[in-house]
Amino acid sequence: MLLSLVISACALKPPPVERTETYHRPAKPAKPPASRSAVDTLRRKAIQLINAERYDDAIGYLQRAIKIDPRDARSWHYLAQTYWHMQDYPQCRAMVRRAMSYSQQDEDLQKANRTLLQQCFE
Amino acid sequence: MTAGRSKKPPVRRRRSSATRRGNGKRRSSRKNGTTRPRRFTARRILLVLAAVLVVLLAIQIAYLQHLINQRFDGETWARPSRVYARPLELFNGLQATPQQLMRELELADYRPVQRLSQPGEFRFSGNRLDIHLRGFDFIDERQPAQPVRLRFGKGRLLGLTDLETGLDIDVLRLTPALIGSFIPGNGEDRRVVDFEEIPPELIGILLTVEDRTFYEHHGINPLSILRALWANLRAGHTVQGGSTLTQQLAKNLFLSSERSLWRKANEALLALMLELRFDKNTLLTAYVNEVFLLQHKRVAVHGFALASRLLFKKPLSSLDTDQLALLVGMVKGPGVYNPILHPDRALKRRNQVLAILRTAGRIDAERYATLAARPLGVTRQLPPVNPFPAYLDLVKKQLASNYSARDLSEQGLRIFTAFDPTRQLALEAGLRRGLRRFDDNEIQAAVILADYLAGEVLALTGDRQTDFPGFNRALLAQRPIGSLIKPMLLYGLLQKGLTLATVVDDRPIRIEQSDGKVWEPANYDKRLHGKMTLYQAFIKSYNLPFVRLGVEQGGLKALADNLQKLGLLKQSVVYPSMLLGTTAMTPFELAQLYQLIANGGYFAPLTTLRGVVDKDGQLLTRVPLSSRELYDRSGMIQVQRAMIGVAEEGTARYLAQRFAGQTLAGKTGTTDDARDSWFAGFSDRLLTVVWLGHDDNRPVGLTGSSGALRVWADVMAQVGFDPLRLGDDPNLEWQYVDRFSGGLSSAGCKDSVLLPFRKGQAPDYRASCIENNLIERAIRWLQGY
Repeated sequence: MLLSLVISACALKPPPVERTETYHRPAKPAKPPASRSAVDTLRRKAIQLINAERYDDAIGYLQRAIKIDPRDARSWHYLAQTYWHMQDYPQCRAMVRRAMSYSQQDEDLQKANRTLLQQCFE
Repeated sequence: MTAGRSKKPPVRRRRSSATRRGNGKRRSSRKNGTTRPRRFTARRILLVLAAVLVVLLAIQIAYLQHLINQRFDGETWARPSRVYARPLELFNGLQATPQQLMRELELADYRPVQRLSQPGEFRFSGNRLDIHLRGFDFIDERQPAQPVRLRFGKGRLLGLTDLETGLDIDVLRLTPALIGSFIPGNGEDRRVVDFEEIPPELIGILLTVEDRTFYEHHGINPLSILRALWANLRAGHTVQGGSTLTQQLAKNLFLSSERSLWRKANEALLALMLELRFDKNTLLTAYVNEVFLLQHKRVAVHGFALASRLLFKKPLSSLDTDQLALLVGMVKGPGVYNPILHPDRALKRRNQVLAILRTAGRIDAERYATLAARPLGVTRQLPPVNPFPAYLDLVKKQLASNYSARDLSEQGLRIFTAFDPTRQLALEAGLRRGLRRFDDNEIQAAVILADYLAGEVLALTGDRQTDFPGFNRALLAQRPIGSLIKPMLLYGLLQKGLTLATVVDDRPIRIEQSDGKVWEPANYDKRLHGKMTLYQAFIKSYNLPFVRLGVEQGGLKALADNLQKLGLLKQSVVYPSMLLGTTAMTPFELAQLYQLIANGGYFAPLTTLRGVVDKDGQLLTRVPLSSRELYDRSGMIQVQRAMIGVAEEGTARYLAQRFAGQTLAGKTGTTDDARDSWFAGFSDRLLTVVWLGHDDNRPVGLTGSSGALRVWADVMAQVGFDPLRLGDDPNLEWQYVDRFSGGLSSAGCKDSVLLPFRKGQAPDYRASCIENNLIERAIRWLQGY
């Protein structure tokens, strides 16, 4: 009787949830996203436009890149740089902070971000 | 002599003149001396009448001139603004199937064909999708028309090639779908074209059928009128019209369709005046844009260009002779020859037009036979006028600060949005499926799907019937949010120095309020659960520990301050009941709150808009990416971790069963008597908020877990998502702790859980590693853990 109760209770129990502890941790550096080459292309075009001082057009390309991959730290960095050129310092600071939040694995970029952040305050 | 004659009064001369034309009676009248003044009066009356007529005519001409000026000075037509979906970016590796892309293409009015021959066509074969992209003016640049080949495999886009050059393409935008228009108050919709855009063949057919001497007459054609008069007299009723194209234009633009001499006279007058003022090509262009061709529900379709888009899904320039013949044939009777409602009549009329073309020598007999044998080739049903009303509502609301309703309905703006048609359709399908779970057809729903990283609203519905353009609950329904407030409360407590491992006590609490009343909150299950970590209390959504911490640890004030930052604190006095989510919010406001949580404290105002361009292509507004660090990132990552716990092992553990192995985060919410059922959750990029309830606020009988959560899962299953990747922060460290005692633990221990702590805040004592045996669990229970 007791055994049958235990068996029926087990049968009613929802299926056990598989616990994989790894996904509780922060994301490891993921392999490059599939969109990498598209984002690189758009960012390269934007850099050319920044160099040509066509900042509005550069913003257009960088926004496209970010909308494809919002974690692309370099696009955020160049967006911040564009706003710095346009002397829009609040936007520059906001964008560089986003760049910093996505570039923790990239020492060089972190350094460039810190420098840019300082410039955004000057 | 001459001087003497000249002295005669002029009236006498007039009299003698009258006498010459008169008779004896007049002479006898002269005798009694009464005629002179009467004749004089009659003539004068005639003259005065004539003068009055001339004046009236002049006034009428001035009035008509005013009408013409009013219409043609400035904008001739109110041009409805067009709203576009987001352009889908195509690149190698894009997660997409050919079927999804073909759906996108159909929404953008592309047609499947066997062989690509012109822009606006696509062809699918095997794993290849060939598309002849139309040229399109995006916000930033024009993308020219080009044929491309897309290759697919394993649910991804594997390659893009330009079919003209054979070169690979890195990134390309698909023509965005037109998702709606802001129609002016008169209900007229049109696509205005310039003279250069009108196909010469359309002009040829139109003039052959409606007005062959258009380029010769001056607005009216007396011969044509006489011919029509004669034909009508012979038939005994109206069988033929004698109006020129200019007269028709005058009637369409300025007059009613009343059949009267006065109207006909005005029509003729207006036609003459129009011809005096404008050249023939201008008038022809006006006609092509003005002519009424189709009634589509509440919308009157004017002009050949829009009719072509709606009926054939093609621009006017791509139509073949038979298709143009149909459009021209419809001019005679838009209602009678509506090809969707009356295809037989429309076919007969089209062939009549083709016969006229053959008789006039524009086509030969063989071509006539070919064309007349063709089916009408129109779409089976017209696209819905406003298929996504809830989203368009939000677009309009967000445009309202910069554009008036009149600007939107008359200025021909092109509005680019973040709307994702594929996800919208998936959301709708998921909602339908979800609502079928409940045996209540009156449950109402609102669902918002947003990209929380970019701060964009991708899809939206404000009604269980998603195409219903009525009360938009997503934007307007202010409902208490229940336990959906807890993540913000938790964040405030973490800012106060508590951690996810802080031990809290789930025991009764009495709060005396300022009015003397005592508030005794309870848990949803009306039970008490003893001591546990804040994490555990959160994932189980226990009320009592949170009320206690809110009141005793300053959580209430922190919550109010944090809501204030977002403009979501709606009351001036803060009550403890706020701790349990008595604050009312719309689903959209709630989505904004959760955007901030999902995005690690970075505030990006949720927008539908990307940019606005005027009718000449000038950029008026570009919505910049906005990102403000409003809340502490490390605190928000801790909150996110706790919300993952809700989805894994808390009130939303249904998600862990349904989407095994895929990390999600969320929070359930239920209000008093189960009047509102909420769930807000997020994956890697997508945030979705679901509300269920009744409009009259009676209980819906569903908790957040049994109602909105299920619908949320159905929606996400349809939409598709990538698992959440929890962000990192250098200020955080991760430790295993016991979920009840809050002491440090290890991965293998029962009830251990891996949680983030601000550096230096992790517990400094160890919990015993409890084995999974009943005696030890009983001991722990006795210890109060």
